[in-house]
Amino acid sequence: MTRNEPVKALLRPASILAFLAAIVVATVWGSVVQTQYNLAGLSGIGADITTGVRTGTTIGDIFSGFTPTYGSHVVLPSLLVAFIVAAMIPVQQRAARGMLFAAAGAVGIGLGIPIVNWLAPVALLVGATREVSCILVMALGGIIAGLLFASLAYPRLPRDRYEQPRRVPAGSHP
Amino acid sequence: MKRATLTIAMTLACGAALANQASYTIEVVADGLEHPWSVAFLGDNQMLVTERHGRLRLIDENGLHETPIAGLPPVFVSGQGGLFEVLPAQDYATSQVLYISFAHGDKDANHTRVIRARFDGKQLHDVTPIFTSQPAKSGDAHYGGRMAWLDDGTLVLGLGDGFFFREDAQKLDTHLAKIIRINADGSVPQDNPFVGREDARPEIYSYGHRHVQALVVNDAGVLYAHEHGPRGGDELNIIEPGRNYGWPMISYGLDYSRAVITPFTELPGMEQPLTYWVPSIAPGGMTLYDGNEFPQWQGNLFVAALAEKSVRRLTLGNNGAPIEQEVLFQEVDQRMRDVRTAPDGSLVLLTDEPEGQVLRVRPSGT
Repeated sequence: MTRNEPVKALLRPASILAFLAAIVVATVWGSVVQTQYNLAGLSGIGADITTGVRTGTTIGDIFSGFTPTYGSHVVLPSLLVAFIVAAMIPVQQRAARGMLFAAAGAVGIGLGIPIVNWLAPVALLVGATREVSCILVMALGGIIAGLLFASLAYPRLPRDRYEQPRRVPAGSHP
Repeated sequence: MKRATLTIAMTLACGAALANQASYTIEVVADGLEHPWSVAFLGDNQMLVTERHGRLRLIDENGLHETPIAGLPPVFVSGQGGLFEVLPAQDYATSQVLYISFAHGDKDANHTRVIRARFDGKQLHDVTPIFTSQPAKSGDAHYGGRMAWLDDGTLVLGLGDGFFFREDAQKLDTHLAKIIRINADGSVPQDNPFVGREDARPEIYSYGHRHVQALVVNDAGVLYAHEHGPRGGDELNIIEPGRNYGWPMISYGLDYSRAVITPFTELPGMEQPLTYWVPSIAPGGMTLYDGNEFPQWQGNLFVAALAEKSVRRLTLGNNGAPIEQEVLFQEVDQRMRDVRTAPDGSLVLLTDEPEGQVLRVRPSGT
């Protein structure tokens, strides 16, 4: 691969599908996490959060308005910037690339949440992120998203397509 | 500033769709005010207006006085914080005492504070803090700040949850998200509901509020309050001492992100609102109309609405709950921060804008 190929790879249809999958994973992860923080806050002041209530609220947040808001306002822009930056860093080994995108995803969301909260016209877009720990746990979704994206967008090449070092005659180095 | 006499083009004909509709005109009393927040009448011809940015202004027959009233203590102006309500003492005619609420402190540690001061027509004297919410909070949101006199001469003050501390609404060791009741000198009435409890602040009158934005007492002594919900769930309540109004355990609103704040809308021991608004209208000030200019509106509750850019007229049923609502004054197309009944029976509106206005609503043809 040339130096620009990893960046160009982001524009392939497979990469776009991988990016959409990464957004879904990180968004659902974040939704589940923030629901648990909200419920923990209620439980802490005496609310009886049964398993049924927890399950229903968690599912409700995933399939109601939270995921579109969080996915479009936080996850999409955060991962877009993070993955473009990650793709510009030259990495040859597949495992290293996976770790790179995982780290980029986590950092991207970890920074994206407070930035979007700060930019929002309301005091805080995602109420559960009043707790810094909630931001950190939501950002872990970026790790999963990054690993997924790297594995789908940069698939392992068949063994016979690995580039072989070109043999050059001794004494004829360019 | 000269009193504007221009009647802005908004006369509505009586309609048949809603009971007791009225035709009216709206005139500009004053403009160029920076986020005016509350208005108080000192007599037929004088009114005081607070600007959230920390100025107290006098309007009389000569219009808006250019120079703000001197003597205010430092006000923390940031976000939703600033100068809030000005409320004359019940014996203002003889005492010249005003009660003023405002944000006090800085962004890391701030409070809602109430002072009393004597007003000589030009400046404040004998400024004395009589209440400071505790503990200090950080941030610059949800202060409350509205006040009202109860029939027994005690003062009630609505407070907010500071946005970041919503669970504190259910805790009695903090003033956050409460309505508190104090005597006119700031002391604690001994019949407050939590006096004597080790785990509670004695000033607390009711709790479980999110962000109280208006307090009104009717002739029968019933205290009405409304409060902002998050995304939806603004509430109108009748306040009873010691009661729990539920926030954040029960709510009809969602988080700004549309996440579920609570899965509950009802729980035992928590009060249901008289009515609630979804989507939010973001209520501001409120008045119970008792003037003579609009006889068909007698006894109606008027609620200023920031987000809806309107004033809601609520017709109340026998149990005090709204049975009908009319959306008024949307033709002004400005966020409405306050609505009050003036001594002459007109309605006075404040618009929450950087160049805010004081407007007066009169019947058409007067």
